[in-house]
Amino acid sequence: MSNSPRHLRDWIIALYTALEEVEPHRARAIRKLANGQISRMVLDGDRVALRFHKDVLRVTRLRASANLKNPNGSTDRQTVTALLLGYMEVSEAISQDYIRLRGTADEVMAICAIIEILVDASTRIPALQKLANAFLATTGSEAPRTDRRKRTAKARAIARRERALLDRERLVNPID
Amino acid sequence: MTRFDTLRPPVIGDPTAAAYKDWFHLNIFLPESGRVVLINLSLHGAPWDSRARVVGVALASAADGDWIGGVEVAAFANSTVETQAIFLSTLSIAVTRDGSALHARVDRPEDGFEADLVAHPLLPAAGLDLTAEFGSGWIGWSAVPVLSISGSLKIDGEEIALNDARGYHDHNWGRWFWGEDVAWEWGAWVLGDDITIVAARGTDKAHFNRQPPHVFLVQDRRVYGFTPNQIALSYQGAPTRTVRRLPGSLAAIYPDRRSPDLPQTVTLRADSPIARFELEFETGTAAQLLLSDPMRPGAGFINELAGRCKLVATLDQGLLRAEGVGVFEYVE
Repeated sequence: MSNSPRHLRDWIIALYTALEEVEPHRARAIRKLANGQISRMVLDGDRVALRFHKDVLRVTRLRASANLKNPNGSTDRQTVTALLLGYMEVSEAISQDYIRLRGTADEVMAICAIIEILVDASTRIPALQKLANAFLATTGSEAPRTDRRKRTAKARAIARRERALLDRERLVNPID
Repeated sequence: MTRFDTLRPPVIGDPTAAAYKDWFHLNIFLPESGRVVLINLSLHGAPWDSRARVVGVALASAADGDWIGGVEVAAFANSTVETQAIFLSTLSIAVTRDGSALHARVDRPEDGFEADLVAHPLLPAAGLDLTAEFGSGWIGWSAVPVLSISGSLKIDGEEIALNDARGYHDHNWGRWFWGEDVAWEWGAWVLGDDITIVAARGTDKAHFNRQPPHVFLVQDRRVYGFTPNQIALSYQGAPTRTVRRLPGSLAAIYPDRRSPDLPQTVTLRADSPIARFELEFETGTAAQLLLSDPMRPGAGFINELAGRCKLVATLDQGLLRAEGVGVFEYVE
């Protein structure tokens, strides 16, 4: 039986544990950003609530039908895979609704800062890289490339239609 | 006869080993399709440190401006590194035992990049071999600038006919940390009439403090060198969206680096008593390689610009004009 973590709860605990072991000052920074608040996270059908209680991370599984109170963040495995393999940019993921973050501005910025700390540390912490590789092993890398093609083609088609509209209404100079 | 260089790993006890960097780089130029291919295998950090990393990148520019390929990052323990070779699970570059040929292999069908290539030098002597101060340490550079490339190359499902394509190889090594205020500008261009031009200079990250450039032009087997005061390297920069950024995890934490100011056109002029030329390079598409130092916080950003170029030259009093393709690296 594989020891690889599978549920979102397991991924979160494994990531934080690896960070705390090697770079405890960054784990401390995450706790400070989280500020004892309860957050909810969704990865496909996995839903969890998490908070730090007396500097200890607690992650609880939620029912799939559970109401998601703010602050919360949700995405899917395909998006995470596409991000890790460089087939999607974070800005695109957020603007195209592949990543959804809800809460006050401060809460959303705190979530982003926590993710940034984890990813930055992953370049120096082998255990975090192993987790990324284990995650990728559970997903395929052919689909992100194909999906990117489709998104690019769709974006170009929209740009062409926008350009045609602007041309028709004589709002821009015609293309030579 | 030209020999390919070998890696220069630190010995145990080297107090500067944490800053160790070393890589083999290979470009293939395909003027007919306008493609530029790059394969790079690099080492970052003391080989015996579990944090040290081996990075392999394979990218090819495509006619529609996209970049095909991917990156593999692994620990030394999960790679095979010898003084003449670096093997990852999907990428490798190896110099033959006698140093006369270089083999590159990429097996990343999921990224649309498969290659099994052999490179042979075409010049009787290596183009360059030097070291220079670089940030807190130093950098070494040896180049084998004109290669004949054979083998198989499959990009995005298409078998690419190499037809004795031209290639460029260099080896860089030294001691510095990514994130230091150091960078470089480097370009290699392959044009008609069997001409290859190479230019490089060190800079700071802002590209204000530029070191004296190194430039040479090769036609057939003849090498024309230039002194720094005979060279003018300039460019027009503009915010440019990089089409692919690798690895994706680093791209995610540096979203502000997606559209840096990058050269749109590069003009290289050189003038010696026996050779004079002007090269105009126009950027067609840009990709970005992000390098985070595994030993301490800090990152470097290597922007790869691929495009077409034009040359007007007077070599030994003979005037010629040529067109081709090239790559310009603008590092921040």
